[in-house]
Amino acid sequence: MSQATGALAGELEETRRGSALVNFVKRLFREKPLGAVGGVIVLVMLLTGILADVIAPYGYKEVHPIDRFSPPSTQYLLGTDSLGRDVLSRVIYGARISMIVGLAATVLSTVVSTSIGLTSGYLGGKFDIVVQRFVDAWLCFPGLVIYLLLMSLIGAGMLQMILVLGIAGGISASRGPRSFAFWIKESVYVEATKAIGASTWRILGRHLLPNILPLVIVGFSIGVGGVILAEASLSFLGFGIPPPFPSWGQMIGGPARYQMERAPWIILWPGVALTLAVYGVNMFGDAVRDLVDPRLRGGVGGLGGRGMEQARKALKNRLAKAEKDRQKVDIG
Amino acid sequence: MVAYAVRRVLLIIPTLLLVTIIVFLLVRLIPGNVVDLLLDEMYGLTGGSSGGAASVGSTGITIDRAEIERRLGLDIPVHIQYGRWIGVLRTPDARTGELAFNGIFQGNLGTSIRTHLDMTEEIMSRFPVTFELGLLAVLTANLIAIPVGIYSAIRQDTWLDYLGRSFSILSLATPAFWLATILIVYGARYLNWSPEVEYVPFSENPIENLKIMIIPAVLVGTAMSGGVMRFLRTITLEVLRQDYVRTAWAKGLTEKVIILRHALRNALIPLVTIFAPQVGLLIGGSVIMERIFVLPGMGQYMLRTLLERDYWVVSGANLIFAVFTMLLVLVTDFSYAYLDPRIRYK
Repeated sequence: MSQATGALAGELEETRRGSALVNFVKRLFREKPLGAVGGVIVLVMLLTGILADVIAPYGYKEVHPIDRFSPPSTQYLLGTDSLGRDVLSRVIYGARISMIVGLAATVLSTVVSTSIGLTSGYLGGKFDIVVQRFVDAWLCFPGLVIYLLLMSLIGAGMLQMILVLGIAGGISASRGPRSFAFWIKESVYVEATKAIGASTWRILGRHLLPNILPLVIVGFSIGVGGVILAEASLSFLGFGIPPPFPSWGQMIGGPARYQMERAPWIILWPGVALTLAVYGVNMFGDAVRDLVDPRLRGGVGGLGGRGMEQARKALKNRLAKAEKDRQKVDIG
Repeated sequence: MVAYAVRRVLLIIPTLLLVTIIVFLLVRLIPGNVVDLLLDEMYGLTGGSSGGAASVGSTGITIDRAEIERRLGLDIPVHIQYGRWIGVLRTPDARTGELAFNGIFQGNLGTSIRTHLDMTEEIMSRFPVTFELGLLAVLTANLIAIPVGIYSAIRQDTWLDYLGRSFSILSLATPAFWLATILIVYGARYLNWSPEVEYVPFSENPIENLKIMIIPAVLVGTAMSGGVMRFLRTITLEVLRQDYVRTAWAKGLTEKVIILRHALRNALIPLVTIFAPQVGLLIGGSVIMERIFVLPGMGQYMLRTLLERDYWVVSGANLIFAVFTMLLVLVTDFSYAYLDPRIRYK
């Protein structure tokens, strides 16, 4: 038993060296293999989107009418579609669209939800009641339907999509930061700051905002997945990114559905890409939450926010290491 | 508890009002005037040229645009249209010109611009379809998500956890419309199966009805289970790290007792709070499923009428949905307050 205490005490005295980011990546690969896989997928997708012009063998608009509907071959690695466009290139460019819309809309949504939620939650009273009526009314509408309505209003296009998904999504998501603001309003140090006479702005900016950061990071990484799927659904129905821009959802929708028997690869690959991307983003987000969420800290004993299995393993390793060290001392 | 209930119910009234305003405005703001669309169709049929008032083709019928607008009640300013739709302002009767209250407050949702039929009946026949799809999907989602989520939390980072979570997130990531399309095409080719075109309501023949609904419901449900699973897993993880659980460990209670008697109870209660958003998501998912599987539900109806710019129908249908969701939220809030005493005493 004393060995265990010794091992634990040793760990507590150790200070963490290196930057937070490096440590995070190390922890990710060591403790959360699924999350690491997700992270790799996300990285690949980002790179594909950024380097699309370099990687893609053909342009996304480039038509080869002679080779329409041709199956995967050495010339067209994933086949061609109804207009003779290379499916692989379109899927690659699709990564760029999903990435841009996903990131931009989620950033916008986070900004909107945090500003509405924090201010409404912190200021409370009449302001909160009024704002909440509006948010409640907004939340009554089913998600996709609201997006359809709004996209019909504004028109199709990437910027419109980012605005709609970002703002509408932000309003819907404002409940989270609001309950956080309620919770932290009561905490002692906020009280103390108020007692010193800090202005509301200062409290909001200096104290609430940094503390909500871990939750925001978690929400962000998972929100991107939702946005990518929403964009795909809207484009599938024809309300999203208009042709010829290669949104994955749009490639699955439209006339391609009826050409499935003849040329399944047109629908197959965008769907696979979508699945992989959303899966990766979600797994990565889950791992981020496991590692970063302050509510999940303080796991079993002093071993950090790990589960029972990891804790057992970690404890075993520590004990083994402590045993070796002790033997070294004895012999030496 | 009573004070909480009264307060919650009172707060609904302004929210409902806002909902009607939003629903009305959003629809009316959409570009693509319905009168223009109608006129285009009519001229297309009779082969004339568009204009204000003009005689058309060989039929000798004059089409007066202003008259159409007046008949449909669209020639008056928007806020008066809103007042009439709600039922606080009087609407002139189409034939006699008499003024009378005829809006939502009087129970009249409005007539479709296309079919001139009262849309309440149409909505009433379609609502149960979407509702049933939603119910089955929610059931599927929770049946999958609850065991997987809880197991993932208590055996965090084991292989079974990874497997279960991967499956759940994979089903969330796979776009339902993609999977459904693949299923239908290959089902037809290799298994000689295709979805029924004729819908059979539950009251007529439950077995047939379930056979039709089961595949789309399972598809949507499995996709949703990912979100629920993740939520439950997070909550359970949090609960397991609470002080009272740690005390239970320290007391020497077995893992089984701790989980069953202490952790689970507290972990499952927040599940109630996400039932309402689940239903909201469902309705969105149902739009796509109804289209692919040819189910006569609300989602399809709303999409079609949106494309046709049938103003009153879109507003009315969305209103019904919104009211339904609001009631659902109310019910879940009450049950949450009932289950978690801390909420009541705030």
